[in-house]
Amino acid sequence: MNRALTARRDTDHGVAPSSRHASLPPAACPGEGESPAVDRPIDDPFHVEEHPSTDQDPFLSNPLSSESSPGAAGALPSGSSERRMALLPASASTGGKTARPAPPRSEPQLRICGLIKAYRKAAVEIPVLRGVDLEIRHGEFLAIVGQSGSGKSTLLHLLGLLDRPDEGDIRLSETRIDDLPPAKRDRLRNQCFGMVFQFYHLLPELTALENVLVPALIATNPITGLRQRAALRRRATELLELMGLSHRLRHRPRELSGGEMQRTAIARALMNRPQILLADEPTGNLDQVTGQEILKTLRTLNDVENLTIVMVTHDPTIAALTDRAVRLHEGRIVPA
Amino acid sequence: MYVLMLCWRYLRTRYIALASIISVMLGVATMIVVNSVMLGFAHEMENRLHGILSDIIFQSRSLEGFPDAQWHMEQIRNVAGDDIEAMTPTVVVPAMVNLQVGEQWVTRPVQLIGIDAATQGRVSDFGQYLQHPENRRQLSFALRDGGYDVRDHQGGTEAPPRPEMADAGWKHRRQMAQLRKIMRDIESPRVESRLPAAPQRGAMAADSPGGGGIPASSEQGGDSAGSTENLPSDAIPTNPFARFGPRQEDYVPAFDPAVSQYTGIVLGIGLATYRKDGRDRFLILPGDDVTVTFPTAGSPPRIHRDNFTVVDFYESKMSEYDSNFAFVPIETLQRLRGMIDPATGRSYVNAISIKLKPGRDMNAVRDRLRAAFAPQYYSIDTWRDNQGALLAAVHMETAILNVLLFLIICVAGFGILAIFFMIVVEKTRDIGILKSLGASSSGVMSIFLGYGLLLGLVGSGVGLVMGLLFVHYINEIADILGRLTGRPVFDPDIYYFYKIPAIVDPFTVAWIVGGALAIAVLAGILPALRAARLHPVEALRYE
Repeated sequence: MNRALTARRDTDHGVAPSSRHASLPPAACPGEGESPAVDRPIDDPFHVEEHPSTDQDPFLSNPLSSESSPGAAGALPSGSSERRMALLPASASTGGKTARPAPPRSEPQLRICGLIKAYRKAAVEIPVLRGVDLEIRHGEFLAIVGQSGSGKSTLLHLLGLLDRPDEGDIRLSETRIDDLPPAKRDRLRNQCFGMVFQFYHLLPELTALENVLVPALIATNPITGLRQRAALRRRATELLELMGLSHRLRHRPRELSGGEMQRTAIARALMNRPQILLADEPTGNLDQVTGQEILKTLRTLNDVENLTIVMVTHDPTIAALTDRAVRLHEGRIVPA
Repeated sequence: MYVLMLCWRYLRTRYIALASIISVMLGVATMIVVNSVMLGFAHEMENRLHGILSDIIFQSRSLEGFPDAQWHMEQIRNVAGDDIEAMTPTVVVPAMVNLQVGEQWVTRPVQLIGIDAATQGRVSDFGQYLQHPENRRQLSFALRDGGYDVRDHQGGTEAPPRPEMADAGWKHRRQMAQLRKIMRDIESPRVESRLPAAPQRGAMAADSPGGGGIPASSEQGGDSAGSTENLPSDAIPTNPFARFGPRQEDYVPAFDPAVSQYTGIVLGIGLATYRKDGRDRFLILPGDDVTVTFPTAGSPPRIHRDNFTVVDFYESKMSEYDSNFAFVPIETLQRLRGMIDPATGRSYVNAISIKLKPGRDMNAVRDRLRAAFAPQYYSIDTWRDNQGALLAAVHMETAILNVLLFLIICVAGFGILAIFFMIVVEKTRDIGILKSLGASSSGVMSIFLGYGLLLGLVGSGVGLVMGLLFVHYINEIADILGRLTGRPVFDPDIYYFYKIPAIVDPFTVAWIVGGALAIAVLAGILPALRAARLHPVEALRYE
């Protein structure tokens, strides 16, 4: 059914995932140019086989979509599978978790060196990060564990360029990004990072669909953007369908449940095909079951789309579900 | 693009913003209405002021005037001939008009203006303000048979009727003459027997200069004679001279008011009427006689008195003019004042009214004339110069009102400022969210600036429509308000207009709307700056 989804690519070649479809302007992320895109699996010499349908489709075996209909994804029009491939960051799928090869990435996607950050309140300086070194590789699902106040959210904000470090640097694909001028930081934040927060942070005036559209709208110019509107809307709709929210498109955030809000937030984070998804305690405000569903969604995104995910959590059991976990203790990274 | 979407969404969901929209709306609507009405008044007033005055008035500083109007007109033409459409000489003197109303005499001060009936209509709108349709076409100082307007021709359908005017003219004159004769017959037959001899320049027609031979001194004699003892008090002005009748009857034909008239005079309607209940009541009508007293041209001037027959009323709707001006034929006035040089036959005038061709610069022509004529003898002014204070007062009123009303919009601006600050505080987290999604500071700022602009647009747009509708239906609204409150809002007793004049000046309206928009955006700047400066992390944490 889904050649693209099941296409396997040998990542040992160090091929960065970056194939993007033409309906949207390509993001200007560092590192994008250095990796030749492999769009058609048929051109891929390592393309193995076509898997027979549904059990191989992680989204259809996913509890998320099962709650919506006999297949939110299955109900897509013909050819939708290829389009879905386009919707998500188009790195090659690596199949299920078990079939997943050990992460053999050669170079880190995100490298953090000696990051120091302190907050000043009155005359008192409160050090939060005292020299964080961390490497995050392509397609990795990393958990940063730490107690409240250990600075993990601060680290995530620094990664997402919401704040500037006092010292140290952050490199995305070997390009330093923490000292860029504001306009470029805004653009990177918009194009390369997707952020998911504990409190969802949806805009209350907008419907779920519009919330998902916002990152794309921020990126488009109001004059030329009009022509892309239909395409953007279609993409946002499909993302929400993938999240099992096809029946919630026109609902305002306050009419959604916590899990639905968080899935809307994830769809929003995916809207601009980010390279890295930053999740700040995405399950922190949800009950056990819903939290598990969100985690499964993230897991699937990582597995199927090879999306790099950095998740901050205080809960070691949640961290256990990820590829790798590090602990942030007293402003430094220690092994979990 | 998200900017537009969020602006629109905030506009639709924040009802508190309605408050600022309404204040902008009311401010804009009020300003439009006030400006239109003030402009209407000013325009109407200028029309009226200008109506009687020509563009430029060339005047001698002395009451005696200057000789040879023709020569002066030649000179004026030499200086500014290209710009001049028409000129007419006039004689202006201060005078006193006595009207006989029933049993008593009413005295009014006037400016007596001698005009050339043929050319006066060419230099100003003078003719339009007369009450007889024929006189409006071409003024004649001969009394008309009848046919005076019974309804103010400038007032439209709202003007109340003036039934008295139906009889005006010869019909009224004959009736009055007959009535007076009967009264005299009843009261004192002794006097009546001597009356037919009462002469006064006989049956000469009003305009005909042929009557010039009558010496003015004959009337002066009557002045001191005192008529109270043997004359009925309701006697027409000729009566005082009755006692001299026998002396003059030999060479002057008898004057019968039923068939002949004195020189015609056009009175300002304010001299002859008073207003009651919104209607004009007439003290006298065309066909009645009045006595006019004025100084002669000699030095020192002497007092001269003469009788005139009212042939029409002048109604410019400017009470200042309507109760101040009286017009007589210029030749008559020149003769009576002794302004005609007996040796050369040259006549003196003391003013020349000049009308310019349309679109010419009045002030430039005035300045050229001023340069050409000796300023110690001639005063040369435009009509605006003469009425400058009045016009300036109107303009100043408008300006002050505008300032005050603009302050109202400014108050609305502060309302917007306060509401915006509230919204920015309320939306702090959303601003953080937008920034975390990659919105730039300028983008966030433009959301709030755009929101301000949108509020201003909606407010001033609705205000514009409201204001224009109000101006369009202002008289209907005034009527309804008058009926509700039981007091007319616009009392025609006070103003000379029957309707509230209103002119919408697109330029002014554009200024008002633009100003309101600018204030709305300006009021949005501070909150927008605050929003733009919010730190994304702190904004996200904001509860």
